[in-house]
Amino acid sequence: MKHICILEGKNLFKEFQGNMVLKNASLQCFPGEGIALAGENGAGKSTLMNIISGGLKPTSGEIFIDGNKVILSGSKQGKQYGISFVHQELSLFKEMTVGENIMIGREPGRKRLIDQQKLHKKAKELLKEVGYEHIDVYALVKNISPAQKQITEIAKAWATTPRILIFDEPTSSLNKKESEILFGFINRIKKIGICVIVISHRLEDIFSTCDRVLVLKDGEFVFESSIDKTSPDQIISQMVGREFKNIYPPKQQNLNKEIALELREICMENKLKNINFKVPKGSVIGVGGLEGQGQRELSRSLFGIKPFTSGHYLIQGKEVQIKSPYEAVKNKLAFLSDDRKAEGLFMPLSTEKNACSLILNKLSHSGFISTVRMKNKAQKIISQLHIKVSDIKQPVSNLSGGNQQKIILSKWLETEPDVFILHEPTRGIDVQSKLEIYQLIRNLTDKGMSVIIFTSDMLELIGLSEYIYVLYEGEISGEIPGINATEEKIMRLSAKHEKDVKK
Amino acid sequence: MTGSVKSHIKQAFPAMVIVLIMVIGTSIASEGFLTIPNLRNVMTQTSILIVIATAQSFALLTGGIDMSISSVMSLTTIITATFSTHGTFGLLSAILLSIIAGGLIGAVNGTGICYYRIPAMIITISTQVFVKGICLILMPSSGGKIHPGFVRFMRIKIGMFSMPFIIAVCFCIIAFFILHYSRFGRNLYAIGNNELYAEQSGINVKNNMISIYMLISITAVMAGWMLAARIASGNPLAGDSYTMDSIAAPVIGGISMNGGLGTVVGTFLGSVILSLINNIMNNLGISPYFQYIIKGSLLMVSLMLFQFRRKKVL
Repeated sequence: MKHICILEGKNLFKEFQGNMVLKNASLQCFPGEGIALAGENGAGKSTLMNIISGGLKPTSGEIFIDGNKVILSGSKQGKQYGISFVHQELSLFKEMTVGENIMIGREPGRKRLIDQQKLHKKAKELLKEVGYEHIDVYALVKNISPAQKQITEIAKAWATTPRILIFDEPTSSLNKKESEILFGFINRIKKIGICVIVISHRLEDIFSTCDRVLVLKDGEFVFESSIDKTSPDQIISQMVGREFKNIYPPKQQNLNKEIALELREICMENKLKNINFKVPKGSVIGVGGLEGQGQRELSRSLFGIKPFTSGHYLIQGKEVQIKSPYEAVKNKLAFLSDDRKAEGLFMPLSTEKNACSLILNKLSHSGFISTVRMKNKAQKIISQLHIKVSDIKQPVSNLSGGNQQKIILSKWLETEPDVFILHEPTRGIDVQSKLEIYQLIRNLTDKGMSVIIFTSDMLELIGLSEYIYVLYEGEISGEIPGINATEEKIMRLSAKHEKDVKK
Repeated sequence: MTGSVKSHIKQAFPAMVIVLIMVIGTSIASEGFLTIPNLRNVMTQTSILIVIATAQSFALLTGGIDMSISSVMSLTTIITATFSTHGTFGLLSAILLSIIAGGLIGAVNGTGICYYRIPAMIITISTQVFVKGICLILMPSSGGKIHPGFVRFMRIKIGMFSMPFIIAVCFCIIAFFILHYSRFGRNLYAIGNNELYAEQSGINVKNNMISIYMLISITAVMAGWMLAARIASGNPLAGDSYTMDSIAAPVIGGISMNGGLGTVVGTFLGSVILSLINNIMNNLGISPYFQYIIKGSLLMVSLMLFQFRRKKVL
């Protein structure tokens, strides 16, 4: 089978703001081959695939296509070389029909005019090739189900007549039967010489479609094997097998009986189902799972950004209605968003103004802000949390990620919250700041504050939390006391082996 | 009708209902309304707005806006009034010159938007002010003359229709086909839906954007000719009132200010509604100042309606 390699990546490195996310990765793709790319969240899988398909430029390293060195300057160029990427987050035009979406950029017709009937006929044929002929090509994308959207996306990529087709979590919104149709399609196109790369957390996907499995960990390839010489357990252990470093401060042994926050039978349309959840006073509760299983919805609705549709929300044992962040703050909640740049800080404003932004009323005299008091307060905050700034008038956009994160934490701490909701608190920040934030979290809980931490970093989840909830497709698929938690246990709950079997 | 055209036309339903109610209501209330001269009058008054609002729809559908069209129209009236008195050659050179000027302004808008990432609103206001300055320097107050043959041509009547209205309708039909049955139109909707996805799907967003803004400006030039023929002179402020109306008409007709949704059928109806308000108020002898209030409230209501329906979809 091994003819000439279609695509080869040699010694690829990628750096994001000082973080090496891809280290010396090399990859060869042969025609007709199915390659599985496994690894934890943030292991560098998507980065690598984006580099190969032209969406990202490597910091160093070379890409060869058919043996010729190329520099890809965008995903459009990648497509011209026959590399197509089915992204996990769908990029469809919701006001257009399924057919129009599939055929975008390749509309049939004479000269500049489009032959709508031919277009939809061709789209139907493409869907049939993929194996899902029952989708109405005339339906508007906004009206179809997530699974149908996923399939439309696949047909759209297939319409570009690729030589290499990359799938990122292709079955995440498909059910068992639909997944099997997709596997059939992948195996068919492999036979005609197309190289398929599958990124998936579901090991079933990998074993049904791939010939070779590669495991990425912290940006490096750590394991490679042909599929018949390995087992799901081996792959899982290769993905997670990391040394525990003693970077987490000691946990509390017993959970407090007093409950600071409780959720009962919380639901949100299509996103969250029957969430029951308890946060004891003075403890760290972790919420884990693969990315996109409802963490974003849950964390944001806890803070009232998008309220729950039904269920009971209790704070200190009393039922409350939290329909907006304003009400959340009044109930002494605080929230750290996973999107620091867009939602965490006022980027162009100074460190001082950001740090004091939530307590302006405390710093003002009859409606006017006292600049002296603000300056003193900001200086106090900065020295307390060891935030490194040369000048408090400096815009926060100039600071490092770690220092920015500390400013967000400090501004919320000034409001003296009872419960702090942290969403990916250490994403993209340096190790030193990470350790300081871990220590800070522990100090705060010792003083009686409760923390809910949403994180996709497994080690952080286990290292910090007294109690762990794992989300899977908007439901809590399991809960583990922090002391008993292991990476494998959480991984199992995250990938939900048992449930898949039941289906 | 195939594809997504139907769902886009659905956006124009409220406008259709409003037009119907207005026509029936006023026919009952005022006798002079349902006469051929009056209807022809309404249609003639609408025609320039239809053309310019159709151009504006293109900008709105990409999620942008073009504020410079009013100045382009004024400039066109000035160029036409200055040159067209010198016989046929003068008229031709006026046509050529105004198209070049319009194309250039459109290219500046498009380039600013996609290469320098300036918000459409800002760059087009800048060109609007700049061109207005040029207009006032060239012709500080109304003056010049329009080629009499051209004026006569624009005043031809065929049955109950006047020449400007026929031009406007043809224009609308062409725009409809461009939007729904050409690659260019599909790309425009795709860009309006999501620029990033459009780029990822292999659409040359930058080139398309420049073409769109050039097309808008050149359409504004055509509307400028129609305006010149109506006022029979050049005027540096003649186009001013069209900026706001050209945005109001598509929005009332169901075109989303966020881009990617709606059709020129809606724009056509929106323009008719605005002119009907004008005509009806005049017929009933109500102060023209009230027209602003009515127009404003109509715009507010249609925007609210839009947000409401949008939420229901999401």
